Amino acid sequence: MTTKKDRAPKSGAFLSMRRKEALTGYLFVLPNLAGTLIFVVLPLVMTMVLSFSDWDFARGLDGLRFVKWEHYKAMFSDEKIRVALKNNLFFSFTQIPVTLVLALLLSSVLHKYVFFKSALRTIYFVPFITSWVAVSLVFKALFEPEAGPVNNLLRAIGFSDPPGWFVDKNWAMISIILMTIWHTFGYYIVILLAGMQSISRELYEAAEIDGANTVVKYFRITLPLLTPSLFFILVVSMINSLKVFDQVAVATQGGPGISSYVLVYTVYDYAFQFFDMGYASAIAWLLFLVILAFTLLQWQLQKKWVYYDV
Amino acid sequence: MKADQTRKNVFWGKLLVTVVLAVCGIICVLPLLWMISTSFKYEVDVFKYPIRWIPERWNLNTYKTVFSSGMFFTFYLNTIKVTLIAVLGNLFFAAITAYAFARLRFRGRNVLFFIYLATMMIPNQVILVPKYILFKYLGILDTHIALYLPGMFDVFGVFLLRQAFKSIPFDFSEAAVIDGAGQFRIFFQIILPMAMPTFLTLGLLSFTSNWNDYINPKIFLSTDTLYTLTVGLQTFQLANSSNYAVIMAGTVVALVPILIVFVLTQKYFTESFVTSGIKG
Repeated sequence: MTTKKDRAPKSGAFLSMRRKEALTGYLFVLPNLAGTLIFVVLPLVMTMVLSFSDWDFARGLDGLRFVKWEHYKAMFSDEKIRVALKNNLFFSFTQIPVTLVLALLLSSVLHKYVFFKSALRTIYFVPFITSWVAVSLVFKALFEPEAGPVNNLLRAIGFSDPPGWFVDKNWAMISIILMTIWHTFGYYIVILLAGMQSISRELYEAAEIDGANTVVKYFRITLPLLTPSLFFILVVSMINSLKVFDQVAVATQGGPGISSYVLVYTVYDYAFQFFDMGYASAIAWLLFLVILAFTLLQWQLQKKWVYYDV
Repeated sequence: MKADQTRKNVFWGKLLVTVVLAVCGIICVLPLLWMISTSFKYEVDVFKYPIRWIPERWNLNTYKTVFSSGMFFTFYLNTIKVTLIAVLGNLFFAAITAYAFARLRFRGRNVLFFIYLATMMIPNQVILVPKYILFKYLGILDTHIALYLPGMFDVFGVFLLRQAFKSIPFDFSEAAVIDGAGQFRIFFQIILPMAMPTFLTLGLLSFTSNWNDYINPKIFLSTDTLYTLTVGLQTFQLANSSNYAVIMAGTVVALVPILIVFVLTQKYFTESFVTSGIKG
């Protein structure tokens, strides 16, 4: 039994309790802070230092030589960077809108007009959990130019000269985009459905009383209230699309030639095929700045089109 | 009478849409069905047109080839080991950090959390080069440590768990303090059980991203006996580049474990990705 006296500790005991709590607090955050400092913050600083230097790997720290802005200047005349930037933008501005429209159509219908909604949602989601290596191997086989099933089908329906897909320099990037759309659209559907489910039924009921039909309800209620979900998808997929690497590394290795180079693949190429760590770090900074710029831009623009209240 | 008719129309309309979307769903998994079907074929039958979804002649030698060298067993074990350690470590460190940020009072807590959260903006792809150099100096390059150790310190998990911990009423822990329970006991006996769903969510997300990780093993590993399934599968493909049936068998073998996890936890699995953000 606790008496009144026990429950009110003396101020000394109280202080030590507070101190113990604070101590536990520091102890609990320490491992994660240390880990993040060593494996994230320190490397970021190192990327910065390296981007201004040339490093002869074999000679250890003695091999470090500062070259100022040389790497950054060199990027302007580097064909690989030019192609990579172009491909990254092409990738982002085709894959994201196409996937989004497809997912929006499917999820709008899925949300209201079907039986077995969750079973269907699960099926659409399956591609998203498969690894890029596996997906790339399957798609390369499916899109094999000479005898693959896709080109066989295209020839059968009258395209006598179908594209070479992953091994054709004009189609390599498009093939990667098609594969990415297939892999990702189920994820978008899951997010959009969750957004639609969180919209209050009362809004629709009120609109019905006012005589709104299905189309009006969709464009005046569903779509506006879905904008936070759409914004989330846009921010995340923009970041992810700028970081694209796995598909490229497995399906095309940047080829044919350098036709499907993207920024991360260029970093990988210079750092781990040519061991030019300094130059690769400068490209990594370019990548980081591009990601930051697009993310900030989206945060700025969100005020213009995202609804948060109702 | 009229209402009855409308209800009937709605039913048939719904059924029609369901059928259309089910067909879309089948098209969506078609590449995977083709993969499975091809893995049981003889190489000469692989590209026969029209596609035979059920092989005329079954060939199990493809799977024999996959397992003959024993390498796939090694890849399995490596992936299981790395994923397990990374997920458990991630959960543990994220949990204690989130607990401190959510429920313990100490000086500088909020500033620290804000700075910590900001590091979420730094993509792994940007810091790969110095990480390689750092791992070389730490002597963990070309070891599994290079994969699971950095994976344990994940800001996103802390963020997710902190939200969950904050939503648990403080009365519970205060009552326990009065009863003389220490922070460890409060954490394990009160907070942890109540935040279990978020825990499972984080566990599944962490599992998927570690299991499917490609860029880290690709860069930090060079010994093939250390390879995980993703890089292992790629090596396997390069060694069998002309044999599509065998490659598809390897792909099936690589995908089976995660597909099983998905089927077993499917509803939960998809929900997890709703709460996910940066992952994926």
